[in-house]
Amino acid sequence: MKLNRRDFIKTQAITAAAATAGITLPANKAMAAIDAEDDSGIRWDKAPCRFCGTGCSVLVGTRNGRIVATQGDPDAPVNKGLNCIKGYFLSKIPYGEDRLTQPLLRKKDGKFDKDGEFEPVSWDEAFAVMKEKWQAAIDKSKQENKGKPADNLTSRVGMFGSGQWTVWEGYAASKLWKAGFRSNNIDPNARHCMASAVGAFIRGFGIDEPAGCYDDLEHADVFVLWGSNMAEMHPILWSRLADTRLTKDGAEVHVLSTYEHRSFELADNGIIFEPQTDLMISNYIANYIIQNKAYNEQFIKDHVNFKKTPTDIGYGLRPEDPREKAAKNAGKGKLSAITFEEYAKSVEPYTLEYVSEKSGVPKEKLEWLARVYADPKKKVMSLWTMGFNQHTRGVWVNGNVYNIHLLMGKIAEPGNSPFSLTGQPSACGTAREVGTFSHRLPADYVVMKKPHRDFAEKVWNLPAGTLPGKKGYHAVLMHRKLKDKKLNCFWVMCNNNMQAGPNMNEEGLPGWRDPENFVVVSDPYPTVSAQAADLVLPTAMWTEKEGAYGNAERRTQFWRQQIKAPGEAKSDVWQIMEFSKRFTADEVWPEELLAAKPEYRGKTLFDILYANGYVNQFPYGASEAKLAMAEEGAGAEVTPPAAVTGESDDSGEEAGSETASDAVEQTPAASAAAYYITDQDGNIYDNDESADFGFYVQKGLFEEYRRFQTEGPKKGHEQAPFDAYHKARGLRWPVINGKETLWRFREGYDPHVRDYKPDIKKGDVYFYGKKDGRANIIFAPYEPPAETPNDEYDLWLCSGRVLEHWHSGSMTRRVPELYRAVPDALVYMNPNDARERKLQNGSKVRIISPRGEIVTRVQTRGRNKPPQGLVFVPWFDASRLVNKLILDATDPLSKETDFKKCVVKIVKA
Amino acid sequence: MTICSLVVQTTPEKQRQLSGDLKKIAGVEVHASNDAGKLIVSIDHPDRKHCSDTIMNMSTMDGVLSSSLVFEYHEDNELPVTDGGKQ
Repeated sequence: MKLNRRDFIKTQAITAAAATAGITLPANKAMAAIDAEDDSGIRWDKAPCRFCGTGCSVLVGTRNGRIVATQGDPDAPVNKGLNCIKGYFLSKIPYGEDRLTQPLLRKKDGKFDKDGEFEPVSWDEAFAVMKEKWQAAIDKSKQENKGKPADNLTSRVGMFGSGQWTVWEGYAASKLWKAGFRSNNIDPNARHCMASAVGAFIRGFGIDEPAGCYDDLEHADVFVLWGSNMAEMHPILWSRLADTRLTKDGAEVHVLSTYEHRSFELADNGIIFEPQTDLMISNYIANYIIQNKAYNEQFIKDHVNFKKTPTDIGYGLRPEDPREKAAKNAGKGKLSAITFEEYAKSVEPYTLEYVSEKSGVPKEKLEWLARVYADPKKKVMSLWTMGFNQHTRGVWVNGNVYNIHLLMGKIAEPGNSPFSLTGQPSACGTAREVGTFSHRLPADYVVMKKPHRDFAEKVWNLPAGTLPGKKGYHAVLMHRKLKDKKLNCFWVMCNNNMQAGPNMNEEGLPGWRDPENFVVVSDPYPTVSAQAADLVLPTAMWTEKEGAYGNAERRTQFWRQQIKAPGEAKSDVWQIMEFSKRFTADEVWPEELLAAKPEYRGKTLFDILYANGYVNQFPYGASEAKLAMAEEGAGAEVTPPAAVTGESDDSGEEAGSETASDAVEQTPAASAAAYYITDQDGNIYDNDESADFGFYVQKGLFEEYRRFQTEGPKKGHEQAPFDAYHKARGLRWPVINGKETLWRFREGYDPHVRDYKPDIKKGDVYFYGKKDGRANIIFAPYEPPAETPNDEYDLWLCSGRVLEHWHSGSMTRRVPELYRAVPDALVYMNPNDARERKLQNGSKVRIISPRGEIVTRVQTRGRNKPPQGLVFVPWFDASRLVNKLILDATDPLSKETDFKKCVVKIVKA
Repeated sequence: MTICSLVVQTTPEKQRQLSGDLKKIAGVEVHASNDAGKLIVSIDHPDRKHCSDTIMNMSTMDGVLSSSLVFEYHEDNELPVTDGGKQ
């Protein structure tokens, strides 16, 4: 039986779904699959999904240079062949009608003018204008920094990057900023989502990212969601969790939130609490464990130190804000040692009665939750996302859950897993691991410590003292400094902060539109941010470039370039490296640095940072001489697998650039493979950056980045060599001798444990991120939020996401049918609150905060069901910028904004 | 031409009802299921908008705990998108 193309594709679709679910198909359908013959002409290759932090692997089907199909990757351990419905739109996001295809500069009378209209310009003109602005700002900084020591340097140029950057984009950007421009004013949008999680990891364990992994979703008996709506935000992990709940005896799901959402449908114990009282509930559980003597005494004795944190620490507002002035310890976080008894005494006030009254949670629900944590026989996985991280006490509340797990010793083993989920595809891999934060260097090193700077200067071959030692401006501070004219050049890449950031009317827009400042936005689409910029750069996205992401379980995943970017759009890494060619060291560095390394005089930053003999060591692109050499067996960097034979043929040609296919025709495929990017079937893939710069850009950057993991004093972040990732479905670091690590800190799972403690007992724990191998239990009390509803502003506002749209919607809203499915952001409201205001489902309303207002419609019967006194508005809608209502209050320790608790009133529009 | 396949998770109690509801939608077929409430579903319909709406609505249908996409194919992806997408 021969099937036509349509039948073939349909059969393939059904059999893939059945295989993924482990379901046997009726015999006739299974037979059809066997008989089918693939005449679809589709080339398939793997890539991680572009959206959230789960890190699902997708098979991308390309034909004639366009993506025509996608499939959940059946070989991927993360998603096991499944995708969430956002995966449906992956193949369409590059093809939105309004893709940016050339640089746009605000101009009047043929010249740049802040008040001008956007006009198309060449890359050359775009970079020339940028260079002029940057140079003026750098000259000013050089003047201001004269005679100052390294740890006192400031800078007037800044970059706001992304947890959606590929690993090498983040690395190249961080290097240009910190080493090239000598500016620590680089921060990722991950500041808005993961900074509190990072703060708690460092305070608790001395090393970032979870001990466990997604395998815990099958090993755990009990799941507790703290401030996470996994059903909508992490649907694939949710389907794994649901599988365990529905198939394992005694499995339970507890869901905590300030409003009812989709995840409550699977909840055995659904808990709605008064905003901010998660600090009380977590301390109550610790108190319950101690009162009932349920804690693991041996684990505490061997592996834990007790600490307390300074209290009354303010809200990360401007120093002149009365709330900051009133705070006794504004911004302080230095821990002091306490005893177990002192800790027990500190949590004692958090009794069942007290916490039930304050949180509004019935006693039996609280006790049920405490009981499962306190039961040594139950394996508990705690999961959280923005409800915890976007919190003015985010570091504290993250830590409070570690406290519970550490008291019970329920950590670093299968199923016992406090697990911080992430929202962006490479918040971990790029923002956190590469360290694109204003205080960080790659692999957990920090700018404030001189030995760390010395080490980075050695790896980067810089004159001693090049790297600045003062923390740069974090996300929220960048906008304040733009407004205050202290930051004058600002490059926003791979994010949409004018829509995502808080309090934009008061703290964002004024600085962006100030004539003394110059703002550049790189994006594939004309976002709200792009429209507020002075220069817009068109950007290649997702599989239009070779990339790498790191997900929430420490898994690094690579992909090859599958398609060409439209028009003149260029990837972020190209933009960063190309811009670096515009500056010589003499223009950006002071004389003393040049004198220390005279060979750098007259060299460009591109020469010093990228064409430095290390990053550019891997050849790309075949000159005839190189190919001849390869044929003789000399100089081939990449030995292709044996599968590359004369047959590797037209499918490669389809995908390859003209030069690539020429090369295939002229020479044996093996020689071409040595200088191009190929898969095991011999298909040749484009790599536009490498073709432009003349070396394998991504490989060089990654291999130099790896030196931070292997050559420094800090161990534990090791990744595999570059080539391994193009073969594997991702690997979880630390990768030692080619083997990934599923559970850290425990003998038998994590090889580092024995390095640090050679006499460790079998299966025992050693928290090697801390010098004495002990994790911290840190007491942190309840403190009130920055603002609470009052007579005038009588409602809590919480902002967040919905299933169908990802973040600010700049990609998902380009897909017409997705846009239609959930076109506008509604305000989800309790029917009683609506009735009291004489509103009905669908009524048009004004939502007013002390900072601004938006108009939208009321939804009282939707998927989110808030309790009385709280409303929820998603932030994907560019025509209803809900986050401008949000106070720019941050966790004073992590500097992450609280998007979940501000005050509003709602009136009929 | 748009063809998709999905794994839809429901509870065993709601499985029969949901399976019936799904089959009523144009272009939707339920091919197989198991005792834990998993259904193998395909959508095959000439109108891309219909397919998208169906996928979107499926996750909010009564009884659906999660709906996961496994395979999607769009013949018309090879042509420029012409029906808007503007805000």
